[in-house]
Amino acid sequence: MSKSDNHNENDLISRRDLIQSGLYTGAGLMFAGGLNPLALASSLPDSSKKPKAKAVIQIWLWGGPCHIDTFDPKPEAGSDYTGPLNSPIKTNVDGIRINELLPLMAAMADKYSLIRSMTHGSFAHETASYITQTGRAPGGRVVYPGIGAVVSHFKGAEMGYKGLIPPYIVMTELQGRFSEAGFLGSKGQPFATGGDPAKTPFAVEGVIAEGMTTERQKARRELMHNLNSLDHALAGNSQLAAFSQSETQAYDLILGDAGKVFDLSQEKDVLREGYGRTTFGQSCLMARRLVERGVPFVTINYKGWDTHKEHFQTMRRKLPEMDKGISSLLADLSQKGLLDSTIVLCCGEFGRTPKVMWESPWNGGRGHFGAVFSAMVAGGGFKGGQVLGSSDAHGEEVKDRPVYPCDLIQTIYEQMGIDPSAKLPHPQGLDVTVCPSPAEGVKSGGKLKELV
Amino acid sequence: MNRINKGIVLWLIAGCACVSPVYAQQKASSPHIGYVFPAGAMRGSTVNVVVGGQLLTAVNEAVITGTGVHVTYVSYYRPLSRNDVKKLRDKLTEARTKLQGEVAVSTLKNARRLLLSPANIAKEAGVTDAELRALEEYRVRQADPKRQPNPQIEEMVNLKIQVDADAPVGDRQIRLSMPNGDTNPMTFQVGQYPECTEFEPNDRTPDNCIGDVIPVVINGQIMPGDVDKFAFQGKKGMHLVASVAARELIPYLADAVPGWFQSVLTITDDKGHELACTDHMGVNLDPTICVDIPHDGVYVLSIRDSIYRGREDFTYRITLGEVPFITSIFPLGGREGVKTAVQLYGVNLPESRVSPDMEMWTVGEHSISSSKGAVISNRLPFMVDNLPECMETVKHSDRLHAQKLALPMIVNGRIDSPGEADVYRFEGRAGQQIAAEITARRLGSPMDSTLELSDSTGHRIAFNDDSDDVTAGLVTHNADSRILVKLPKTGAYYVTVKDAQSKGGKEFAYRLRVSEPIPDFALRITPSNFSARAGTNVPITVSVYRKDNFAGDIVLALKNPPPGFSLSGGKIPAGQDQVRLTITVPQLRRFEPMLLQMEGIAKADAKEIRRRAVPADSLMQAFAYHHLVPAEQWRITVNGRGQALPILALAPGQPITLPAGGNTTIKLAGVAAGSAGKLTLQLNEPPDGISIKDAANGAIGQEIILEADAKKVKPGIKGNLIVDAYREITVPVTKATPKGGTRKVLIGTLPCVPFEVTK
Repeated sequence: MSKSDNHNENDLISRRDLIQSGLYTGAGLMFAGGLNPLALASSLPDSSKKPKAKAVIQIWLWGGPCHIDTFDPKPEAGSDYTGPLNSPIKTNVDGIRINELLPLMAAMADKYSLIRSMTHGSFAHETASYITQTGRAPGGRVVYPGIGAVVSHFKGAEMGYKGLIPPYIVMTELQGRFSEAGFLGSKGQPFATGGDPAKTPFAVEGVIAEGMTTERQKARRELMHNLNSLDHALAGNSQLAAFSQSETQAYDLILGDAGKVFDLSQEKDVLREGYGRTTFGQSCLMARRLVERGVPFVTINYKGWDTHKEHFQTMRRKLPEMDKGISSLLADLSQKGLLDSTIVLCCGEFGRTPKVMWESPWNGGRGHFGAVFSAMVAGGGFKGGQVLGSSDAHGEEVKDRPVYPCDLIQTIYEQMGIDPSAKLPHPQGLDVTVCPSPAEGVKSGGKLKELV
Repeated sequence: MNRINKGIVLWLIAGCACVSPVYAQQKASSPHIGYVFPAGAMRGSTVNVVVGGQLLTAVNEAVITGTGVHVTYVSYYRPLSRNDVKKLRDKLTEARTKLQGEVAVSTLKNARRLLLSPANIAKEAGVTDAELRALEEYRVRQADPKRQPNPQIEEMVNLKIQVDADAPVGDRQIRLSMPNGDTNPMTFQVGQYPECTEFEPNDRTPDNCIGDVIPVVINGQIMPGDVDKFAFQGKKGMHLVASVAARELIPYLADAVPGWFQSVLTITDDKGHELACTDHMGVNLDPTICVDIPHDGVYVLSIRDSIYRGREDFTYRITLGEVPFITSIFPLGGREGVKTAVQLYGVNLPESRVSPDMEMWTVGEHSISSSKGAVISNRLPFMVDNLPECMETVKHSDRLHAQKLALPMIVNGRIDSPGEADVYRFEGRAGQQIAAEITARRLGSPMDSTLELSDSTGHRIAFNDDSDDVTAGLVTHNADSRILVKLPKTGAYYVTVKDAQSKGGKEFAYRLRVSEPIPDFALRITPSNFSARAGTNVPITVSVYRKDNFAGDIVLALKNPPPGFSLSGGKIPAGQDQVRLTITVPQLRRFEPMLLQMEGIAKADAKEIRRRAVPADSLMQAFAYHHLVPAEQWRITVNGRGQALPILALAPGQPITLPAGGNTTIKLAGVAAGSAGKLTLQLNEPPDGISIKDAANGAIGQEIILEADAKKVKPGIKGNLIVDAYREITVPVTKATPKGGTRKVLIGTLPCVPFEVTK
């Protein structure tokens, strides 16, 4: 076959088909046995320890939320620091206050814990995102996988994960600030749903097409096969056979019952209203549905927290939305008995400058701040009603018990039954452990024993 | 009522305005301007200019530096805010509800159509056509997904600027004035060629504003996704220059990455073929194209942002024509009083060499240009020093052929070809301090220098790539190298100069100084303007660039100040690069801004050094980096009435001594007991680790206790402590403040006091 012939064939496959192919590699190829069993064997966790958590829902406040205006209020610091959000509210746990725009979360503080001493010192989105999601600093020859990719690796198909839904799902779009998969490559890459769960139907990329019936999707599949001469040209090719099998399974996801996980209309309206009919609220509901079906890692990339300008206007819009979404998620998981086995993590790549930038052009904005910030963690064996660490009176630096991203990540891995010292399969055979070894010199405050 | 107005009424009534509530801002920022458009005018012309900014309601005039330019305030315009839109929507909704009631009981035929017409609703609501137009403008802005709210430049002041025919060509600084003070300055250029202004839409079909006349200066603004195209008539053999001033007008944007309007300039021929395209000229990030026109025809000049951003402050001026343009010069400087021939490189230049009047030029930075009759070229920086100078010789790229220097010496050299090294040799003594410094990037040279000092055996003594210079305000990457070293033995030493990127060419010029250290300093004061209530104290910051590691104290003093001005804490302690101090303004209000000057005085090697402190503004680039950009004037406005505040009572000339890990008690003193009442005292941006432990009630006669955290402050640290005084006021429960409560209000700042942390 000539090169130009190849081009012609590819031209017959639409972008949608390619996206679906991406899904095959995410979910299908695992069924096709595309992984090296030797590499896998080296990374098996210690099965003698029973994991407390089966899944993680990571709520990523993309852009960096202000710690002072969420989980670490400082009303005594004065208006230069609080702006108009100067009246934090008590929670149902004595001594814990959170922002006044989070009343629903305040009523269930016993279900989650707050870490008020997160730190990494990076003030740039890309670097901070990498550190917060991998636990390691960027640079050097190794590009580490994020927490979702690692969990997906250990809890994916090789470890007995069954189901057609990919084990690592991102709603609704990838960050683009760093590669979630790192050196794990396409095997660690999450499946990004695309679409908007607040719309009906939730048009998941490559799975559900707006305005297209199931019958029409089947017909399109047939048409694609009729047009695609690759099958004929490579008849008998084992890789293609595996691909074909993967394709069948992926189409089962699209057209079979598994795909119905994305159909939020199956939920009661009152529940959907409770979560909020917003992209974020419905993403939280979607996350619960995915976890309920055994998906081990779900990330909700929640945009809009990079509030250099109009910070307080944005907070008044976003915090109530976040309040509804997270409180409903925790309540829903709890009611379904899933909270004990599901870790809910909420944080961004950093906090924001404690001192409000009133001057032009910010006009009441907050800049990036990596010296100290907050995280919320619930479920999956994490205690509720706790506050770990603290920042100083103005929220400008860690006062006690610094918690570095690697500390939080390590604790999550352990709750998931993933051995922090286990090896990851590096494509060049480098000796890479799940969490940094002491020899790597990564700053650490230690595992979060206080919270588990 | 026109169609637009009908639409806006329906849009508002339908409640689709997506109006979010307006939240009270705790503190207002100061009046500020972000752009001037057009940012220049030709000599002998009068232009209408828009200045965009924020908090400009009270503006009643404008001031501009230099001679021959006259500014008149015309009008002020503020687009509707969200709150305004909400109020108008409420009025229209209320009117419609009322009219609906009338329709219900009306016996008129067509009552619904007549009474509920948009025009009638607007009339009933008392909403004017002007307000409806403003609403339409708001709606269009909101509906444009590429536009973001930018309140910092939303308000507009219209000015009329008249430029005299004999006004000197060059940059001026314009500020808006109001009774309570001035804004920051912005650049306004006085030009020598006819000018035109772009007219949208010109993204697809080129603008014909140029007409048949070139040279011309085109003024424009780039909005999101915008490309501005201009048609012009080119003639075969024409040595065309198209040169953009964009970053030159607004050097830094705080909220954009890249942190300025990064323009891209393209010229295409009448067939659409690209003749030239660039986004720079050497290290200048404003592009210039120099191209020979291949044949007669209509050509198109286009400009855009490199990543298709845009906003009102993405302003530009393009000079287009067969104009003289200098691309580089050599040498980059000369010795005071010594005749120096400067080679010019460029296009359309009337001369290839100029000889500046070195008798008249004092030590410091000047500029070189070339002129013929009334036409003058662009200007490039030229440095005048007072040390002996020489030119580099050919072939001295290794130790064997090293050019010998008798110290002190400034060598004017250049890296002529990629990868070249220039090696110099001098004789040094054991224990002798030697400073070697490159000045290149700071004078506009593209050279990214490295400096290496080695001994006669080839052993490296010192190496430097880049160095800091707080005074290089417009240079984002000061690539100039600097070495200061004590020689280990007597003998021959070699200084090797290279380009770190192994580039070279005739424009890669440099000045290398090799000498014993020459202690000196340069000062910057920020901000370049402020307003203060009469009799109060205002914190200011003075930054110092210590040359050749000059480490001594620098005493700061106002130079011939008007009565009533004084400084507190006017000393930059030895070894420190910055000090915050306070300036006390007169007790009486003045109706005109006053121009002040400050100088720094220091002693080094028994000599007194006096240097003017250059006013500057700290501008942020791309969310992160700060640069001190010089302003021509230091302007202070004194207004209103001040309030008597206590002072920290100290023995004259004595600083507060703070033991690391301990505390110090100081008494508050004042002119009239009890005049300050109950105050809360708070340190204003104190050094890390120093805090007020207890300030009693802040009343005169009381004591405050300062403490120093031994973990954070080390003995020996010196500076000034600035204390702000706040009063707590009760906020009544009103509709606007439903929570009521108390609020701290800044009453004023106490004169700062020097401190020293001791063991």
